[in-house]
Amino acid sequence: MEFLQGTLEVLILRSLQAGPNHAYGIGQFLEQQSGNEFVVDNGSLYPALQRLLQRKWVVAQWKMSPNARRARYYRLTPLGREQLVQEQSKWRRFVDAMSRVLTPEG
Amino acid sequence: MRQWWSKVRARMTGRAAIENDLAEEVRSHVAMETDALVERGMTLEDARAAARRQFGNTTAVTEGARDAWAFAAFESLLRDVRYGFRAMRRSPAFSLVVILTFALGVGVNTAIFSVVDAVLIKPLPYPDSERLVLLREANAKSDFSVTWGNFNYWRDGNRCFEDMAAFQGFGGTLTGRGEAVTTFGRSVTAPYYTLYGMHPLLGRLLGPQDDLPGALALIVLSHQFWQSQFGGDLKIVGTTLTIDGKPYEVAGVAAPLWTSSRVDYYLSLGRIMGKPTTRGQHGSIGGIGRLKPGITLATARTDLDAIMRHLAEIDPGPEADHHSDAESLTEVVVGDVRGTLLVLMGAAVLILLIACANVTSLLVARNTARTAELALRKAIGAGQFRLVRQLLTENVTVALGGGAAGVLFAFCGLRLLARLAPRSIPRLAETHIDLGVLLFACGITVAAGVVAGVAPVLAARRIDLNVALKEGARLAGAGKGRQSLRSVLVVAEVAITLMLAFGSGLLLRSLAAAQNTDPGFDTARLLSFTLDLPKQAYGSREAVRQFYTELTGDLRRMPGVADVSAAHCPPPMGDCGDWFYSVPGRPDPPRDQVPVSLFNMADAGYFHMMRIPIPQGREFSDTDRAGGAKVAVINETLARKWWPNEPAVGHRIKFGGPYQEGDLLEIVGVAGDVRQYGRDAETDPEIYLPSAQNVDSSATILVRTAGDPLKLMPAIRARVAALDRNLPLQRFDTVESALGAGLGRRRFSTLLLTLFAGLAMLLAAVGIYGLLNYWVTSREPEIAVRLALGASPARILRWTSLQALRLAIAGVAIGAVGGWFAARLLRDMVFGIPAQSPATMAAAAGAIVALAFVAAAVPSWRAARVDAAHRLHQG
Repeated sequence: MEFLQGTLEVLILRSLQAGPNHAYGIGQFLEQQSGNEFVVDNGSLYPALQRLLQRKWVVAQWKMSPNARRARYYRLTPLGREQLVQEQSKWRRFVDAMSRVLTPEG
Repeated sequence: MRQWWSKVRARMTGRAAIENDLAEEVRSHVAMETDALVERGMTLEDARAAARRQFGNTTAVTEGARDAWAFAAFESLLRDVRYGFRAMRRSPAFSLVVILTFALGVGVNTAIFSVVDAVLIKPLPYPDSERLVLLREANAKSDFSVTWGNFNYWRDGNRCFEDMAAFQGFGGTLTGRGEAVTTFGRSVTAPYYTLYGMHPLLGRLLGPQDDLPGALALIVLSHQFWQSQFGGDLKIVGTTLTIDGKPYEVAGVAAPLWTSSRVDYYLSLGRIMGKPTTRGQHGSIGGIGRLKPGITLATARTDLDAIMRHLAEIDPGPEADHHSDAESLTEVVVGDVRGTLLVLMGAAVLILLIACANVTSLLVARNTARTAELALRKAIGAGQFRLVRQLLTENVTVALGGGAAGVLFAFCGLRLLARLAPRSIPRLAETHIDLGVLLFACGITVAAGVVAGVAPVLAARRIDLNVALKEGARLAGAGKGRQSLRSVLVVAEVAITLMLAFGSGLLLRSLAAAQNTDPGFDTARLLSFTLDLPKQAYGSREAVRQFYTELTGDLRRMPGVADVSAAHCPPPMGDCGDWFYSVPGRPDPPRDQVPVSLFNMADAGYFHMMRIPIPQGREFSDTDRAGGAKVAVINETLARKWWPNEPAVGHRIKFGGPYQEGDLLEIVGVAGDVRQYGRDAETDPEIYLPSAQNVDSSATILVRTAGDPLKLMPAIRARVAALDRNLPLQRFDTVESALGAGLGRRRFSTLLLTLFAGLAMLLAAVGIYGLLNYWVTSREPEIAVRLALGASPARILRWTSLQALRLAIAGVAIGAVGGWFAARLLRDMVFGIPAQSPATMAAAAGAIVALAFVAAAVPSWRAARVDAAHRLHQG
């Protein structure tokens, strides 16, 4: 399943709530958490990460991964955390509204 | 804004860092994926390949990520430009043709635009010049000078003008400083200087206190006259100059000022005119005023008309039917060249269109050859948008090269233009390439680059990867669609070229017609010069008459002179004064519709000497003396108007309208029409009076020589000086060259339009040649087969020529329709033939078809010479 327009960024922010992660890890996380429903396209993931960096919602840092690979870790900033909270409530309202419309009454 | 700034900062500092980070991040991503796959039991080799496959197109990913930052757009633009240069270097011949084509189109447009800019667009160099208005009087029939009386009422009573001045031009003779010189003065009221934004360079300009009767006679010199006549003498202020025998003290020298006609100095008009007396006294005075901001010309006219109506009630007289006539100064100065310049500008734009069509056609052909390369770029991940942008940038880069060369063309062209242009186009000398013109050139260059590039690029976007990569360039590109696009372009070029050729044909025939018109008299070996006797030295009519009788007698006795005569205003001097006339016994026309006619004074024997036919009656003779019966000779136009079916001779005609005083004149003869205004002008009614009965201090002497007239000029000059050293000879020239000078503007516009048509034909020929050449190349195998099957080379030749003919005929058909309607725009410039002239159209069409054949000759010949055996073995 493809991502809906504008959802990838909030999902990345959500994945970083658990702790800093690298692009590969973020992709893995999203696929596993969605029960393999989402397929993460790197052509979308990387530009999205750049946009988050630009807006200062995340910062990046080179670190060693547990299996001794140098990787670029993204971490939520306070600004990003705030954004995530806002986006989450917005998405919940959206999903509620969608399901109310789509579910037949009675 | 913030975000934008952070982008810019990132661009300045962290660009390389971001690039590095991205590249390394991708590598580590793939490595981690590989680790994971190896963990699941794959071999390292397989895992690496699979990881890379899963990651996707690395180029596209990093490019996309980089595009998130602002510099990306700029950088890829730079890359495209660099790529464009590389592509240019790779095919220098192609690039040269494209650059030259663009240069031609941009150059022609830049040159003509800079003229249009200088003459039509830039405001006249006076303060708020768009609000300056020339004021005259008019009735329903024609317009007149404003009388001093009316002017004063206008100035005091109007509500629409900030300020108003009166002026009166005149020719005066400057004496006492070496040889006598004819000068052009202007008497003006004081506000004139401020209206034109004049400043003193030395001394002062004149003010209201100098404008009163009894004030000191002062003179202000123009900068140009001060330079040319007095060598920029810094001590000139306070000295005395003698003009027409009267002394004037130099008050000052004005700073340089552009004027549409020559002005040598300024005198005070108010001092001469004094207090206004009657309203009816005309004296060649014009008014100029500056409208208050926001007031339209129509409002100003209504305002002045109200004053005139009021005056008609309280002070009725010959002025009662006059109203005001206000026209924008700009319109008066440049109005009559606007049409010519806009036609030329239009022609230049058409040339640019042809140039664009040619480049488009070339680009289609080249992109065809580049199909494989483009497909490859697409395959390795270049997005559609990227590809389109790259191709457009390439085109615009080449176009800019052409534009730069075009501006250079324009620069050289302008120098040529300035030399060829007749003086009658105002402000042409000021034409130069400035920032505005450069911006224009830049704008049309980019526009041309995009316009020429858009069709080929859209075609390239649709490249089918599979076909293109597998089958190579030739097959993928030679598709029917592109070939037909190029055919459409060639047809359009031919159509536009025909329109230009038709237009230039019309002008060429008009010029020929104008040059061949019968001026109505014999111009062979005819010299003329004008004298104006100063009133101080020749105060009485008798003195004037005696001088001219003596001069003509002297000249007639000179060796090498065949005949001599004199008239007040011989052709092509134009309008030296018209006046109302009326025919006694005919119903009086309404007051505002009294007819006017040119009036001219001629010596006895003038018509014989000029060889102007006298179809009825007689010409003036020595028996027509002052004090004798007042007589007149009228021209055929006037005779036809009033006496179409009977002889005019014996009837009487009145000098002045039915509501005016005026002499009754007996018509003694009818003279053939002459082209009074020049070869390409219509004839107006004209009434001749004998000089003996109407003495005027100014006369034009005509001398018909036996041999070369130019050789006699010094002797004639000496003969005049022998009678009076202080008399300058004005307009001393052969009548032939004066008539030729009158055609200067026509010659200029004809030359330019013909040049443009020539350029268009050249471009169209290149277009046809290119298309047909390509057509032959792509059909070589087919031609080889046909030849092998027994077709004769002549047949192949016919086949290919037919291709060219088909395109030419389609273009000619469209262009003929377009040209037919566009010819209306040329109506004012066409003379002696109808603007919609079928013969001219046929000639132009014939020329274009012939051109198509010539352009097709080389490719056709090549087609006929295809070596069938060789080509078939190869293929």
